[in-house]
Amino acid sequence: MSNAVVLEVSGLSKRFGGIVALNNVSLKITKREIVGIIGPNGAGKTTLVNCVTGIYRPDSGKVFFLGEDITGKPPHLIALKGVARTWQKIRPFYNMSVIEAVTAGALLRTKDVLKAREEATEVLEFVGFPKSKFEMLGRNITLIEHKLVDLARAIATKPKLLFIDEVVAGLRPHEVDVIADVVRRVNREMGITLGVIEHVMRFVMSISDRIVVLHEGRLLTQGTPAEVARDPLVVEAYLGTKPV
Amino acid sequence: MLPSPGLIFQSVLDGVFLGFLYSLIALGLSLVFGVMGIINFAHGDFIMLGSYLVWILANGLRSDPSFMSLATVPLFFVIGAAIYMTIIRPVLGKEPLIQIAVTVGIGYVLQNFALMMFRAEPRAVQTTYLNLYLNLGVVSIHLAKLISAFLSLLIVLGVHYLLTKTWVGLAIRATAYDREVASLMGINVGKIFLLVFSLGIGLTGLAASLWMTFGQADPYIGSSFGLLTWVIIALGGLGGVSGLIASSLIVGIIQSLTMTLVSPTVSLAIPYVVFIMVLWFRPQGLFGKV
Repeated sequence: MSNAVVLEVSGLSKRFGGIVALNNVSLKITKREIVGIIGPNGAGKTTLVNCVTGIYRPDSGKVFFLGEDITGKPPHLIALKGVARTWQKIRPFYNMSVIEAVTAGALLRTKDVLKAREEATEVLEFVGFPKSKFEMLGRNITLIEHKLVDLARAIATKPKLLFIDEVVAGLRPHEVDVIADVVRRVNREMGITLGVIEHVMRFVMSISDRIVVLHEGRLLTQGTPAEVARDPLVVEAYLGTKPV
Repeated sequence: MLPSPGLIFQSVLDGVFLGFLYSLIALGLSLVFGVMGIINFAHGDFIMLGSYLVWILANGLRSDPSFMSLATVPLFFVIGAAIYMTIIRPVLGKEPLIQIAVTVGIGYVLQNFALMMFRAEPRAVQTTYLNLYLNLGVVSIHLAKLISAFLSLLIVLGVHYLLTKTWVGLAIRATAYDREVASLMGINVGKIFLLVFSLGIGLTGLAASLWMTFGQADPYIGSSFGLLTWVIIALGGLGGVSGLIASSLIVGIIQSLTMTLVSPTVSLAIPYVVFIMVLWFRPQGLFGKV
């Protein structure tokens, strides 16, 4: 069943005081897809992920993961079911070594620390993190290394669905290419379904099978990268209306 | 009149023994603070409460206070869990002032309870098997202090092992660094908090029974333990067990030397003076990283 729905969000809304961060958003992500989630600042992209992963409880609407209603469940249970994420702002465990941080992720599926450490080593090698830096503390590594550790930490939990939140923000062009390659391999070789929240168009357009556009908390449109790029609604959302 | 080198050496040795016990006390406090962000101002008062309990049990059973840890540790672990569920959990994520008010309040309730039940005079356990001195010529070693130092070190290292080598430990540390990230790695943050707070209070039960092998219970020892351990944690810098032990020993030695060379009445004040002087030169603590 290659078309199995992994995630279904229906009528999801979330308010913060007077601000409607998400307004009746419905969408589906199917198995092994890479779905780019784009939109201008404040469009509701990260709020959507926070509602799906249990960080926020949505005000209304439902979240189904593999057909099961997970709306409002606590984050650790949602992680256990197979949803993981990386973070827009890097959030390393500053005083843990790289290998320990990723091991902590692997411990979700096993309580054997040695086995978890082996898995962490494999995942770090998979994302191309330099082996010589496995024992370094989170506080001492570079930005792109942080992004790789963050990815590895999430992958180590063996998710079925992984959200990647603005992973290439702040990276140099050739580093973006490195990350793009890793993200594609996570999808193809590990078979993990991906939701990629992103501002960097070159990156998200090149890796995504499908693009979902959010604007002011609503789902504006969706389609292939080429379709979305041509859509006048999208152009308008990003650039504003043409001057008269 | 200069004190003899033997006297100073004896004083340093006693300070080292006391310091190891302080490290056990500081460990629980720093765990709760480091993982949950809760400053438990009642931490020392749990030791005070435990000391009275040990006093009652040990005198009643005519046995050594150190054996009473078999009762106090599990009991205080459960008390810790109960206090976490009823008092601490509701104020998690609230403003620091509210959290401070809550834990200071617990401390005062415990102190007043002790005053009411036992009045202010100090109480010591009658029976102890460890009240022996090993005479080594220049110095003599108080067996009770030696054993309490040894057991404290053993438990501190044991907890360090737990934190660095076991899955629970990794989960605790991940929660300490970022509870939201940890929760999305499948860690049940609520359970970790419950465990850490219970462990922190459980350790005060052990500290109390070790303390009573040579010390006395009075309603106010909690304040001195509590504040001294804050000095230790601030000096050591949060995080590392080695820094915690080192600063515990420094505080223990300073306190002991003050008692010997100056006066027991200022033995609480001098460590603070040293602490403030350290802050002038190393605001991050002696062993902390910036």
